[in-house]
Amino acid sequence: MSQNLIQRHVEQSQHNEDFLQKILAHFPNYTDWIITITFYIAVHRVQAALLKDYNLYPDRHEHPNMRRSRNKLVQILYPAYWPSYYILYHESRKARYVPNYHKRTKIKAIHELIINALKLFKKLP
Amino acid sequence: MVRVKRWKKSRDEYMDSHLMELQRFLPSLTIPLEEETSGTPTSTLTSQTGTTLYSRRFVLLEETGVTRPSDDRISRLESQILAVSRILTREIQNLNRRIVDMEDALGDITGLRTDIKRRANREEALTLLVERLKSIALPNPEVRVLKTGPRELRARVVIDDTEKYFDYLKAVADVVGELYRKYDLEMEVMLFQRSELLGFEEDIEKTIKL
Repeated sequence: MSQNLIQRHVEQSQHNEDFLQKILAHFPNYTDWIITITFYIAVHRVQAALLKDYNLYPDRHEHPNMRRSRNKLVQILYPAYWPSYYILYHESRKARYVPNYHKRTKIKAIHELIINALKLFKKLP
Repeated sequence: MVRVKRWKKSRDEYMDSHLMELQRFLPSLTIPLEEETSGTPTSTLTSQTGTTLYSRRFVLLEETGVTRPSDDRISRLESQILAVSRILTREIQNLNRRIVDMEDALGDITGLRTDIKRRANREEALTLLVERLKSIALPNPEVRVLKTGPRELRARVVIDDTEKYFDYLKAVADVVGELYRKYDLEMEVMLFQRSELLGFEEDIEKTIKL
């Protein structure tokens, strides 16, 4: 069951990455959605890794109970991934809630962040 | 002395009865003839007749009167057993490594929970946040603390617009990471450039100039 779930998260991550590559190639000005998709690539990889490595399955980004807080679990259990994960989480929130994020944040500014995150999170699970 | 004799006697009786049982048992076992087994490969642990390799180890060839498997076949079986044992050894090592990793993680979680009991204080977390932010040379920073419950800390770190925004964000990530490690609070600390917050209305509890 959990093996199946792990695989489904990996597949969803790959699906998101396919979409990301298409947007990067054809619509690079949509930086708000580029950052958001990249974050959800990372989320699915993290979810798969937590389940595989620690049998944990957090249901919230942030929660006082650490077992339910994906952010806290990434910080504590995968500290090497934390800076990249936090920046993606942070920027995807701003991209969704701050008007005109895509006009302020150009692809040049986040391109390196995106490429590095893709390489990094592919190592999970 | 008497005890020794009794023990010896009972041991002999046990051996005799065991031997008799074995003698009754042996004729029911068979080993496939070499010709039968030399064609198609059989599974590692089960012969074509269904007798397990394990049980065949105990068969006395003289009493069953069948042909002894060839050296080549025994050698092949030994190779297969060796391969299986290597796989098992590797898997056991992997399992042990996983157990150690999980024990470490469990130790972290337990340790953090103990720590959290001492540090579930919103004001203390805010003090640490301000202290750590002061050590980063942010451009004209202030912290806007939003109104929340006692188990939450929501803060907007506001700085002047800057080309180095992502560099500062990396530094803030380290600070937030420390807060996550130490406090059992629902936290949201975000970095904004001033112009991003124009027209942005939120319920602010207090503003702290750094």
